[in-house]
Amino acid sequence: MDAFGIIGTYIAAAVGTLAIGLFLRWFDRKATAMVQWRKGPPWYQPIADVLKLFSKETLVPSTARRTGFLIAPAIGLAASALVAAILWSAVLRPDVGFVGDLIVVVYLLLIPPLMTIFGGLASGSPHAAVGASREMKLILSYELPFFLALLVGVIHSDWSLQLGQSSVIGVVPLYNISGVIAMVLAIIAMQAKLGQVPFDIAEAECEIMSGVYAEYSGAPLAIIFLGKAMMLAVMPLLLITVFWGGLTATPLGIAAFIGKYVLLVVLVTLIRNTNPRLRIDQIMRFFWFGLAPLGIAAVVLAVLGW
Amino acid sequence: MLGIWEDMAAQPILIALVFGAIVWLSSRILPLLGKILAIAVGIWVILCCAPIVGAAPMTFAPLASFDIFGVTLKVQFTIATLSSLVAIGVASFIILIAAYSFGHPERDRREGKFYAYLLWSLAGACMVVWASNFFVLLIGWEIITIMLLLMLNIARKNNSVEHPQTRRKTGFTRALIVMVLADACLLLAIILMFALSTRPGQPLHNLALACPGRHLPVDQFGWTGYTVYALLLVAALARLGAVPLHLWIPAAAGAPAPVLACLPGMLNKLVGIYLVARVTLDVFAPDTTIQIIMMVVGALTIITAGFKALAQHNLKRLLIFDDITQVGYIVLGIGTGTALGVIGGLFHTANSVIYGMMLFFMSGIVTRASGSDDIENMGGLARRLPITFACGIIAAAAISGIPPFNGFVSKWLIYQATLGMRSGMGVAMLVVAVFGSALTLASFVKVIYSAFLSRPPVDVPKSAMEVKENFWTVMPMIVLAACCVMFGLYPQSFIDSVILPAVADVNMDASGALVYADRAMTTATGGLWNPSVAMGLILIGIAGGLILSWILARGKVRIVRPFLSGEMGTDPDGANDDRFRIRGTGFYETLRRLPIIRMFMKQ
Repeated sequence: MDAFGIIGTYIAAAVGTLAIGLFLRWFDRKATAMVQWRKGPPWYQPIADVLKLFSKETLVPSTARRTGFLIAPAIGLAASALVAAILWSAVLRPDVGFVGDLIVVVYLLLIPPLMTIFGGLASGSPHAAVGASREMKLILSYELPFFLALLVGVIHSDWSLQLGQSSVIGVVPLYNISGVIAMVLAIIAMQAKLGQVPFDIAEAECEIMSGVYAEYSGAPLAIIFLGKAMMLAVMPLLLITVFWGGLTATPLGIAAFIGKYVLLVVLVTLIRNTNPRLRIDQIMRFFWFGLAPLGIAAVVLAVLGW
Repeated sequence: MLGIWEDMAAQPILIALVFGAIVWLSSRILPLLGKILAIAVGIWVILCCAPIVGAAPMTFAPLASFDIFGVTLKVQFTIATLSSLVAIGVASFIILIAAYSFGHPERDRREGKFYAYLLWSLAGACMVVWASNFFVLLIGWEIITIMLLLMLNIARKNNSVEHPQTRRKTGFTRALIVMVLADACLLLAIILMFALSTRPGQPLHNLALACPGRHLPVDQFGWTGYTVYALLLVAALARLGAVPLHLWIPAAAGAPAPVLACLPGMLNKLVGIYLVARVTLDVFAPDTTIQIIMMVVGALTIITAGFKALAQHNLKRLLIFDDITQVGYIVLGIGTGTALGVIGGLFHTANSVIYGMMLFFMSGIVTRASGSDDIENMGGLARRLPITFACGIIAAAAISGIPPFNGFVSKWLIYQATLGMRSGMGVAMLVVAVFGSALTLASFVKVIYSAFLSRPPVDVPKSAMEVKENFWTVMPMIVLAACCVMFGLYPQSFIDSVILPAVADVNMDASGALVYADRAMTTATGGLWNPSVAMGLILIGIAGGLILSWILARGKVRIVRPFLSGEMGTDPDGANDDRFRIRGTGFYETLRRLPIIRMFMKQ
């Protein structure tokens, strides 16, 4: 692929995923409103929110390291856009490898939460410092079961790390015992990675005043908002690519793909609307001593061919 | 004597030894001379080695030989590409250490002798890497051990000066015991080699070391072979500080930054891994049992040192433990026994030396600028030490394996190798390695916050407040940071020119072959990584985000007071109000209350 092709893929994937992400944010809010017997916002609400935030002035606390504080959200957004480009090209053009494999995706997915931590710490706010330490503990917690779950997919696709080889990685069937366990683990880890209730300890509005985001406003907050929308679109895509057969280019295949996508987002919304926030030590126990052994069991089963 | 001068290996060794003696004698009168001579000899060694890189291995005539128990021991050197590259590496890093110490004032005159030790350890390292046989290797190894203990002695004396009331344990005795035991293992291994009957031209004949491509299966000699291999491994792993032989390394925590950058940061790693690599690649072909043992040692090192680092409140101890985790990755990579794993392990050695030294340099400046090496007493240094802050972030990202820095590439290669084994064992190793890098990341979030971004403590000593960055302290860090970025973005050229020649003629399981195409690296397991394109795209993304913000928001920025829970600070933004200072040391206290983890987190 030439330079224009690569940059074009990246920009198209970034813009497309942002559009999907903003739509999903609306979908999430609308579904939440329906759960709570409210009417909910119109479809363009997330776009209006972003535009309004961009038009506001940016407030920077006097204690902040300004460059780090302002650039961190942009780095996070750029990294998640790269993940989006890798995943979309794996789904749409499975024969052509693009930039990285599954391990690269796992590590690139670390950058957005890491930038949240860095931006929060750079703000010099005590609330953000507490929030950042919580976010790091959250990463430590979910990374282990999340990676174990992904490995089940890798083992089932003939030990290949290549994304989107539909003949290889896409065929991980849900009727495998290990596949089912891994999918459940990945869905829970996705909830944590998206920072949604019950794992929203890094923000926890009523405890630490939005924690890592406490000092953000205006344009940087808009970028954070876009980054979150992007992640909401990227995570279900990753799960579908690794566990659930990717995309087949038939009308039925496309419909099934959209159905899976919507189902995963609905799950995120439902989990966040029906659970209270957990404490940080509860989360760590849950992921390390509850889910990680399950993940190990799933990997062992997968190695045995179950 | 003329023979020594013509011997391209013996000559730099001799120069380093002689100049080391001059520096030692003049250390009290001319403290500056040591630094200048260290740089000069370093440059000389590089100039001697440079023409040899890429040429065919050269074996020089023995300088002396004598017979013991029917074995001919020769003082003889062989120069090959890998050994010259290691020597060039040691010499360049010693130049950087000497340059750094121009900006790092000695606390007492004893430290002047450090540069003599530095030169002597350069001579020792050259002897180890150029040794034709285990006899010369042993001599070089012992020189390094003695230098190591002398350097740790500086640390011990510093500590007793700085903390006279607390009489803090430095662990010097522990280091002494471990080093003596490890060297005894090496000696015992060499004595046992006398018992192995080998033919001329084979490794181990007359203790010969350099016979590439003709290594012996370790089970050929039965239990003696295994014992020799195990003893050599113990000697190397103790030097590297791999678990469970890591107990001596934290003894170095009281040492000044140049000592730390030299010992655990650079010399131990290069020499220790060199021994492991030579034994594994050139002397014995390890079997599955030994590979499994190496991988388990690697994995244990990653996890144990990772949790220990998380628990530390002393900056240097924390960095030392994080540095030990990197040893785990290297041993794990070499232990896989596949071409990819060995390439990854050797590449990771170079990378871990680069960011390890950078972190120790950083610790030196940070410690002086905050008047303490306790993380609790640091803070707010990002404003005072901006370049150190930037370099610290690059080093922290590289050691945690964040793409696109160099640590990620070599870890990625090791991950590919473990998965390429297609076994439960390989998967277990992969999981441990990935989780270990998350632990490292967590400990660096604590460091970067505590040292640079948190509010400064109210009682920083006045002398510490005056410490500023200068050319000599930041220049080595900038050079190393540039290496982190370059090796991260263009790893192919380094792997091709440095690593591949070293492992080219070794019979290894080639299942994890590495292919470059279209600027990307690909492996047999379908692994793919294209660092320069990834970096370019991320930069485009960042630029896009910033341009969008600029167009829409027009850069309207206002500085405001931070939100402090509705409280008023003692000053307008509460910068000096200790009530709002969140300590980084408390970040991971939750982990101490978890079962099992509690045991790892013991101080």
